[in-house]
Amino acid sequence: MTDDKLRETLGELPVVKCPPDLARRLAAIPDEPRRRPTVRWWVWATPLAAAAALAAVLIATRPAPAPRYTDAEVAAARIQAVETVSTAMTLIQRTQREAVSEVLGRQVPNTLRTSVQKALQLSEGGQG
Amino acid sequence: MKTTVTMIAALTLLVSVAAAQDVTKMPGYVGLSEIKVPTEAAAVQEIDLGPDLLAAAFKSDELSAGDAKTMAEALEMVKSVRLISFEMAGETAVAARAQVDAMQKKLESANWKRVVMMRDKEEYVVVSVLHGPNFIQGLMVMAVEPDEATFVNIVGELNLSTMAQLAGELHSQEMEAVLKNLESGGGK
Repeated sequence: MTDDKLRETLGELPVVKCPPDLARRLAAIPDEPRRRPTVRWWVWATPLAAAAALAAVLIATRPAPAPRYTDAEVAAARIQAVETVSTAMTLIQRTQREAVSEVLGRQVPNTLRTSVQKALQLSEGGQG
Repeated sequence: MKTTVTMIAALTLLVSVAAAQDVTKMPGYVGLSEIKVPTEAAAVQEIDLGPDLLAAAFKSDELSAGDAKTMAEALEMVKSVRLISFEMAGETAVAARAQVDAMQKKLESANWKRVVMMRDKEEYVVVSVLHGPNFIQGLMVMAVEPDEATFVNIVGELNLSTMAQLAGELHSQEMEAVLKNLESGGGK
C-alpha cells in the first residue's frame, strides 16, 4: 500500500470522540511549566574554544626536544665554557689589578708630590 | 566560567614558561651579533653555548671531585656562555673601541652597571653587570687590546666571586690539567 492510499483510507474513517473517562483524566494532569534548555550553548562552547586555543598554543610553543649531543661535543663544550669564563675573569682581575696599581703607583704619588711641592712653595714664600 | 578562567590562566602560564626557556629572552642576554668583526681579521673565535649543552657538559653527578666538580658547581646556574674574539691590526682597534662604547651605551640604557673600566693607549676594558633580585643575571666583558678584541657575555644566576676565585686558582695552578680532566669527563 502506498502512502497516498493509506492517507486516503485513514481519511475515510469516522471521527471518534475521546472517551469521557480518558478526557477527564487528561484534563486532570496539570500543565508542566515550560522548562528552559538545561544546557546553554556557551556553557560547552566556551571551554571547548579555550581548550582548542590551549592546544594550539601548546603545539606552537612546545619546547623542542633536548638535542642529543655526542660525547665529543659535550667535552668540547666543557672546555670552551671553562676557557671563556676563565678569560672573562682573568680580564676582570687583571684590569682591577692594573687600575689599583695605576692609582696607588702613579696617581696618588703624583697628587702627593704636587701637594708637597705646593706646601714647600708656600712655606718658602712665607719665609721670604 | 570558572573552567574558562582556569584554562586562560593555564594558557598564560604555559606561554610565559615557554618564553622563559628561550635564553635570548633572559635579562642578562646581550646580542653579540651586533659586533662587527672586521673582514680582514686574521683569526676569529666564536663560542656559543646554550642551556642544553651547558647542562649536558656540567652534570655534577658525572664529574668526579676536584677542580672539575667545583667548576661544574660554579657554572651550574649559567644558562649561556658566548664569546667573540678576533685578531686585528692597529688601525681597526679604533673601530673596535667605538664598538665597545656603543655597546656600553646600550647596556647602560638597559640598567646594566659598569663595574670596571680601564682605558689607556694599550688597552680598553669595560666590564658591566646586570643585577637581579638575588644574583647577577648577566656579565659582559669587552676588551680591546692592540692586536685583539674580545667580547664575552655570560647569562644566568652568577656568583662572580666564586667564578673569579676558581679562574684565579685555575690559572695559578694547573689549568692544563683541569682542562684535560674536563676533556676526559671529569676524571671518571
